[in-house]
Amino acid sequence: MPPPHYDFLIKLLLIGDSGVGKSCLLLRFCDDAWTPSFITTIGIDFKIRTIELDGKRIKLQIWDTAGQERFKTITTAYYRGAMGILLVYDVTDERSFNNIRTWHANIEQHASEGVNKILIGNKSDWVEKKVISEDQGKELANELGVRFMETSAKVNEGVEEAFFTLARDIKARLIDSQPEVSTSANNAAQGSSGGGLNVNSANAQPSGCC
Amino acid sequence: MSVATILKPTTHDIVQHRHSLQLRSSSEDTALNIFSMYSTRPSIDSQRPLSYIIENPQGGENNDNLVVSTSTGNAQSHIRDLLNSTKQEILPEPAPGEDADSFHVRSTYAQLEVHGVPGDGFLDGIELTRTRSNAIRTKLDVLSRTSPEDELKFLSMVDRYGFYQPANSQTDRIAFLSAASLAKRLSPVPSPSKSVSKTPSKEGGSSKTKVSPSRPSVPRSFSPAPPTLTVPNTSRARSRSASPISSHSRSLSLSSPQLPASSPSSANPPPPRHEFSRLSKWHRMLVPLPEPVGSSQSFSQPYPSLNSSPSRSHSHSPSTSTDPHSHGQAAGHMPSTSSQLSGQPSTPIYGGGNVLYWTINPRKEHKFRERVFKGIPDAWRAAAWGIMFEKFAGVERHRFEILKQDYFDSLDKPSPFDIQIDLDVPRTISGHITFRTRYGSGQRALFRVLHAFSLRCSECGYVQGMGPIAATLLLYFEPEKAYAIMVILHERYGMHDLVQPGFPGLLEAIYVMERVVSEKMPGVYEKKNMISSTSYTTKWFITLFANTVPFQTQLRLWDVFFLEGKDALVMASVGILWVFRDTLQSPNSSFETILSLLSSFFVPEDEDKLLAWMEAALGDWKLREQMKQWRAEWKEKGLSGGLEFL
Repeated sequence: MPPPHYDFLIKLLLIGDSGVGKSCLLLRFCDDAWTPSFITTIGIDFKIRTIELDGKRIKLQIWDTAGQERFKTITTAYYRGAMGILLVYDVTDERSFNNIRTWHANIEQHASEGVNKILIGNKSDWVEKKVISEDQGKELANELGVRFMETSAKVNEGVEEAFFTLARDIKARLIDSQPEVSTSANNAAQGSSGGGLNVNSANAQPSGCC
Repeated sequence: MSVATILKPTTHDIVQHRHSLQLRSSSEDTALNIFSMYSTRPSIDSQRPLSYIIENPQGGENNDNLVVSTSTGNAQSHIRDLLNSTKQEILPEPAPGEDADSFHVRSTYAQLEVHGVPGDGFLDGIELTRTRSNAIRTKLDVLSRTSPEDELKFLSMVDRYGFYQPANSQTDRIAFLSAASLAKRLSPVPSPSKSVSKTPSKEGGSSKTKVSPSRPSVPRSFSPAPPTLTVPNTSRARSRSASPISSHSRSLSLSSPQLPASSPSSANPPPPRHEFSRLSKWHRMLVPLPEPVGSSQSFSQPYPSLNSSPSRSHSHSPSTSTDPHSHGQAAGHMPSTSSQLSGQPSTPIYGGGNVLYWTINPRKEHKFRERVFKGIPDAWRAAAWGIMFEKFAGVERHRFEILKQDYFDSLDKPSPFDIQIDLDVPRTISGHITFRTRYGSGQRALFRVLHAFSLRCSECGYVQGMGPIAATLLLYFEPEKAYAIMVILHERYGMHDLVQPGFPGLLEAIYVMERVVSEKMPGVYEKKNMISSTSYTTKWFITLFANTVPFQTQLRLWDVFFLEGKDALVMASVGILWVFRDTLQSPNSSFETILSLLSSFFVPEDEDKLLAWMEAALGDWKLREQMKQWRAEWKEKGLSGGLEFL
């Protein structure tokens, strides 16, 4: 088993309409797997992957949320602790694209200020069903002032890039600008005061997992 | 013309017929000719966009030329009659103002209800609603690749509950609930600091090390699917040649003991211990109730006659059969036998196959509760649940009949949740034969039950998480009864509060759980405090532990839930925390270790021990009284306290 330490912890959050493929993106990114028979996410779930950026081991703690409106009362509690948010829509589903503005408004309302965001158009492999063009995606991203990327969790296109791009932005914002930060490795998603600025140096506290 | 009224008498017949076709097809290569192709065709009438035509494989598209090759001629002619008699009238009308996509969903299900789906039960089927395919001619070319041998092989992999793949195959986070840690009753434990020296992984070992990855056998009460589709194979097969760092993340899986392959010969894993011996006890304990007024049947003897008419569509309900042989076949989803199909049971079936309501033999009444905790034999489960709804939740029998009618009435009404329900139907239960095929009979029934239920309560509507509940019920009851039970859960078991906007019932349950934990496991309470309980308990409570524990364990938790009410769910949650108390309060455990542990799929080493622990905990009347007060306290505090408090 590799040594359980990491240099920094980054918390990410996946949001977007039900069925756009949030859990599939997460499964692809963390386990490099894809399954057509996924189970609906109830409430909230999370996965971990440690990546390396510029020689630093960065642990990504990624929170996956239920897409149904009803669950927002629960999931928005997790916005505050997130340092980066992936806003996901389905390129074959116009509704999910139109709802991005609502999701973005939710971020404005509940997330920490300055949180890094990326707009993701998932299911890009499904060319014959595609209804939202890449240009439309870019345009919306520009308007919202966020990054944009099309992905396919199914054929593994753009997924790594999306998460890495976001992680790199966060690292630049929070870590590179603050040479020495040291707090406890134990932070609740919602309990972490100070919003997104809780970058943890976890060298002292081997967690026994990851 | 109402869809409901057309479908009502035919649905079951069609389902049963198709099941029989499906079974027989393994020995007859032409048996599936009827379904070997089907196509979707563009519609001329835009308001009726769908028209599914079952084609003659020889090329004819005339519906009258259906080729049905089965060994039973009467099934053949019967199904043709059914299709012919209903086809013209089946298209539902769009309701005023109904969303086009929403109508497309509703109409697709309604039409496939009549025509069925090829390969129902062993093919995955194709997506038609999400893709809005109403103008694409689609062939199921997969079907041609399905040989009878494939079908037989597939059917032989199915376990007694109908799973061809264990429900936990999607997670590599599996945590065992050790029997040893359940030996101690729920009682206050101090937060020990003596165990500090241990490493977290050893600590967790109170449960984990008991079942090491190399452990050769599964917990006796857990029945994974047979070897060809075991968990480790599927989840490990997904592993990539990743960078060492990313594969690192997989070490998160706590103890992740691989569920080993069962012996190659066992197509059906063994039922829980002592289940067979308990069958006869339950047979003596439960007695059928006379039919409601208006029925021609009456029971003059304590037990039903051996050869009651099986003509009712409910005849497949497992509750009605105490025949130990049929019992092992699992829960109502197994294709019916050809003899049932033709209406002539070849073997006598105890219970007559059509007893709707059961009650407890008064002389045995005192044994009922204890026996529920010991485990209801699966063949008696539906009967026992029905009794509990009546006796313990106070549901009057005629209410079921009214609700069943409500179900049928709802079918031709549009629901604003139809699109969401359709989206969730195929991703409700993984690895179960009944719900495998897209738009297969199982998925259609699931859609309809959820559709009907979404119209029941304007506050609740449909919420993700209702799916697994409806699906479980559908394995034991016909759709209308499953719907009726959903309503009962909504009214009498707190489901209304649980799922209505803001989830007040969920927050209440969490509050009570936390109070019990703070009382009995202060160390755990303190440590666990850094994690919002919603992150792991939401799923537990809203789905009533579906997809959180093995199906068999889920059923046993439901046995207790139906008997005891919502305290049972709280106690099951406390039980999980109790098992892991040492790990949870260890100073070495961190936010992540705790959270990943509590987000696991929980496999009890011995589910009898888990149930015995719950029986004792729920039998602590002082604690129950406290729980009642805490519930009241929560309500007093008002719901506005909300999440922040938790």
